Amino acid sequence: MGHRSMGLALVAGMVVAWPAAAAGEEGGRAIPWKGSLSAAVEAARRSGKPLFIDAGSET
Amino acid sequence: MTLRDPQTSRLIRRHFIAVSVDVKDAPEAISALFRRTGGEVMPFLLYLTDRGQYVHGTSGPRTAEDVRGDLGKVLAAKGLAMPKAREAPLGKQVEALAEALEGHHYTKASAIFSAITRARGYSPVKDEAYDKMDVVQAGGIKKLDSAVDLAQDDRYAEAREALTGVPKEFSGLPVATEAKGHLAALKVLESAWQLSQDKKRGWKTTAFQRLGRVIRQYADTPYASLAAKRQAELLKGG
Repeated sequence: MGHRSMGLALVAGMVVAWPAAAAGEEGGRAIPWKGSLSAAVEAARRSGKPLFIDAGSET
Repeated sequence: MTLRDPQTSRLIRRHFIAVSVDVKDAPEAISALFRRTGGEVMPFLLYLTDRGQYVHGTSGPRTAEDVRGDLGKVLAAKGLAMPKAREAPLGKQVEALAEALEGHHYTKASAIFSAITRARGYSPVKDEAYDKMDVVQAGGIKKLDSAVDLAQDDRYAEAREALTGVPKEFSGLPVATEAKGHLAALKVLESAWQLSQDKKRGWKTTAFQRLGRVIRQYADTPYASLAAKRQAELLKGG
């Protein structure tokens, strides 16, 4: 499980980008983007939900 | 914008933990995952397990339909989907949830809903529970979202006003608890903004620290990513 631990360790503390979809959506709720990768990793561990990482979508 | 499609964002909001990263500043562990998508074109969309293991990834523009397909595929993956045998008891919990909501027993309904969403793995039965909760909380949810939009435009007093009545009006429901967290986060965010207005000596450092506090302490609120945006603006000299 080297890959698992490597991924989780290296992403900790990284500052995120501001996603374009954060400010609302057409006809529904906005996605609650996490404020940092470490917060996202922690939330995923806690909730058992998978991670969705958006890198480079129009911001 | 694909991720603004209501069905797509609903799937992400309910069943995933979402984070957006800057491609240029991505650490090697994340860049390596970009390569695993087999492409070199932005955006990269990565899907990892709750333990950080790569499940799926795409490179290049995707339609909302494409992304929904990817999300569905990930949720149905072995280890992420709920075993069929566990769906029947979950269905019974959804029935109990409907009953509690009909009787306006919101604290009880929230406890049942929490148990349903905490159950490990994805099942469409969970969506039934989310749908039921969304209906009763719709008014509060709208106010929460409107407050985020207002805060994005630095209209903090209006944002506060939008949030203030939610805890009482929706008492017992998750949106009431959510609103309390949002109010607390908003207060710190506003104080950082106020510093940028007053421009007293050393304001940037203090404002940066306060924004960092929002990111750390209120990571579960949308104000955390708004604070991250504000920090980036400060670094650029805004």
